[in-house]
Amino acid sequence: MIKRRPFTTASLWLSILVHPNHTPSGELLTRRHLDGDHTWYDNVYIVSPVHWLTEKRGKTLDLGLRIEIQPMDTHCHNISLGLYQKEINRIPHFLVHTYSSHPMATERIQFICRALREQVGLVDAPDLPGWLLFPCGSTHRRALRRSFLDLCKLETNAALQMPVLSAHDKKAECPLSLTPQGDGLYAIHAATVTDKSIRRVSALARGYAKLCDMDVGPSESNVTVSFPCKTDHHALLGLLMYRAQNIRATMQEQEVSKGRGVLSAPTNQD
Amino acid sequence: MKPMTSRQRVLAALHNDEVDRTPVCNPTSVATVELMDLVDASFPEANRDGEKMARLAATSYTELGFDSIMPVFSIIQESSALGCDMQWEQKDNWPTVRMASPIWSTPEDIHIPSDWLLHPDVQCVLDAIRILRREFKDEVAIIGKTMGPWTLGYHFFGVEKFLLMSYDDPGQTKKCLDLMKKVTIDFGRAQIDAGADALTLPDHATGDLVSGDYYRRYLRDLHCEFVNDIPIPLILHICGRTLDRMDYIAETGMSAFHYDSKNEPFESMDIVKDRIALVGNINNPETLYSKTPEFVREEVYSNLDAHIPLIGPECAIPLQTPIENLKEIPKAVADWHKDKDRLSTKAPLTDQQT
Repeated sequence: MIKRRPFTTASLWLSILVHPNHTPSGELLTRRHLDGDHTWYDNVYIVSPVHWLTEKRGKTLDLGLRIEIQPMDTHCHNISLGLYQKEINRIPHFLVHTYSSHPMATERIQFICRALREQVGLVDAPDLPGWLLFPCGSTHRRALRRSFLDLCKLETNAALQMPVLSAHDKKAECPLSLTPQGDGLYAIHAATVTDKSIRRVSALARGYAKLCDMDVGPSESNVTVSFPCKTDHHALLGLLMYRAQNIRATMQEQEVSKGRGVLSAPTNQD
Repeated sequence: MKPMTSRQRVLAALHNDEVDRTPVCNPTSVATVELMDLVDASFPEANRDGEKMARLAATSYTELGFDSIMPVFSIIQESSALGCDMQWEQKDNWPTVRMASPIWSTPEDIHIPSDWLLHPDVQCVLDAIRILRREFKDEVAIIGKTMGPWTLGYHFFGVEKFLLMSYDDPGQTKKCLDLMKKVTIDFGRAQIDAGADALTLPDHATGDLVSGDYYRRYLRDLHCEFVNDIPIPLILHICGRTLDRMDYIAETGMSAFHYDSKNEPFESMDIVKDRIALVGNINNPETLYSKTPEFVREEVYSNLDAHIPLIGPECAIPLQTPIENLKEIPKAVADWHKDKDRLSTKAPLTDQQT
C-alpha cells in the first residue's frame, strides 16, 4: 500500500523548496520511508552547496513565539527542536518544529507530538494540522516547557507509559500521592504520616507551584494544589512529579542549560 | 533619497555619511542553532570550514534581514592558528581557548611564524569571505574580524597572568602588545584581500576589569595605529560599561564602536558625538534571548531615538536566541523610519482642528 506522507511542519520548508520556480540547480529526491504496512514518500529538494547562500532566502517561518528549544537532540542527529506558541482566537496553540532537513527529523517530531499528547494531555488543534493545544485552552507554559525538554530525552519510539499520580519519595521514606478532587484541585498526601513526610508533602506542593504555576491550598492538614484553569491535568502532574519532588535540582539544571551557548567576555571564561 | 543597497547603507553609516535608513548591522555573530539546521552548517564545523562558515553567516542577510554578514563567529581563530590549547565544543556552545594553559609567559616567548596565515583555522575565514564576496557581490556589507592584542594577550598568556603583568610591569606589557599587534594587522589585511568591507576589532579591555585610564595608557595609541595600518573601516568591540573610555575611543579614528547594553544610548552619544559611529546595545542575555519581540522593538527604538547610526545586538548573540526576536530588529528599524516619515510629512493642523 502506498500513501503520501501527511503534511508536517518539518517538511514545510522542504515543500517550499520544491516550488517549480525554484529549480536552477540541485537535485530533487524522493525519500521512501517504511512504516509497518505503509510506505511513505517525501520530496526533498537538495540544493547544491554554493546555492544555499543566494537561493535559500526567507525560509524561516512565522510560527509565533518560540517558548522552548532543545538545541541538540542527541536521539536525532543533534538537530534542534523548537516548541512554538501562537494564539488563535485567544487560545494558545503549540507546535513542535525543526528547521533541519535530516531524513529522521519528521519521525522524531511525530514521536515528540505523540508523547505530548499521551504524557502531557495535549490534543490536536481542530483546524490547524500539526498544532496542539490543552483541552482547557490555557497555556500552562512553564509546565509545558519543562515537559517538552524531558520528553526530548526519550528515544524515538520509546514506550510511553501513562504517568501515575504517585511516587516513592526517598526523603519522606514513603510514597507521596495526589488525589484528584475535581476542577483542577489535587490533594497531596503521604502514605505514612511522619514529620519528614509532612515536610515533603509541603515541599512537593511548592515544587508544583514553581513548575506548573499552581496555587497551593491554605490548609495545613490537607495540602492541595490547584490549576487556575480549574481543569484536571492528571498526565501533566504525573509526568512532572519527579521534577516537583526535586525542584531545587530542576531549577539548577535549568539555570545551567540557560547559560550554555551564551558567549562571555574572555575575562569571564575559564 | 535614492534607496541604497545594504552594503552602501552600512558603509555610508561607518563613514558618517547620509543614509536612506539606519542600517542593521551585526559586527559580531548572529548564528543560532536553528539557523545552523536550516542551512546544514553547525558548530563546531562552521567555525573551521569556510564553506559552512559562509553558509551560516549568510543567514544574517538572507533570513534575518540584516544589512551585513559577519562570518567570524568566534574570537579564537588566530589563537588556534598560533598554537593555543582549544576547546572546540559542540553545536550548542562556543569554542574557547583554554586560558588556564597559556602558551607564553614573557615577551621573549612570543613567536609568530611567517606562514601563520596559512593555518586552516585562518584560511577558513579567508575562504568564507571570498565565497560571500563572490556570491553577494556588492549587495551586502561583508564584515570580517581581527582580534586586538589585549584579547590575544588573555589567550596567549592567560587572563590572570596578563592582567597581573599589566599591573606589575607596564613596560613588559607594552612590549607584548607591540609584538602581538602584528597578528591583528596581518589577519586584518588578509581579510581585506579576501574581500571584507569592514573589520570588527574586539579588544576586551572590558569595563569590569580594566579602567578607562588603563585603556588610555595601553590601547588608545595602538588602536590609532590600527586605523593607519588597516585601510578599511574598523569597528572596535569592548564589552561591559565603557562610558569612562568612550572619549578616548572616539579619539582613535576608528569608524565605529560596538557598545554594550550596560551603556545608555543617549549618554553614550553625548560623549562620542559624531566622532565615531556607535552600533550595538540591544541586550543579548535578557532581551534577545529571553524576552519577546515587543521588548526587542523597545530597545531598537531607544537607540534610534538617540540617533545611534547602526542598530544591532550588543555582542555575539546566544546560540539559542529565538529567530523571531532577531527578525524584529530590522522590522522595528523599518517601522520607526516609516513613523518618522509619516510625522514629518503630516500637514500642520488647521485652527479648526486644534
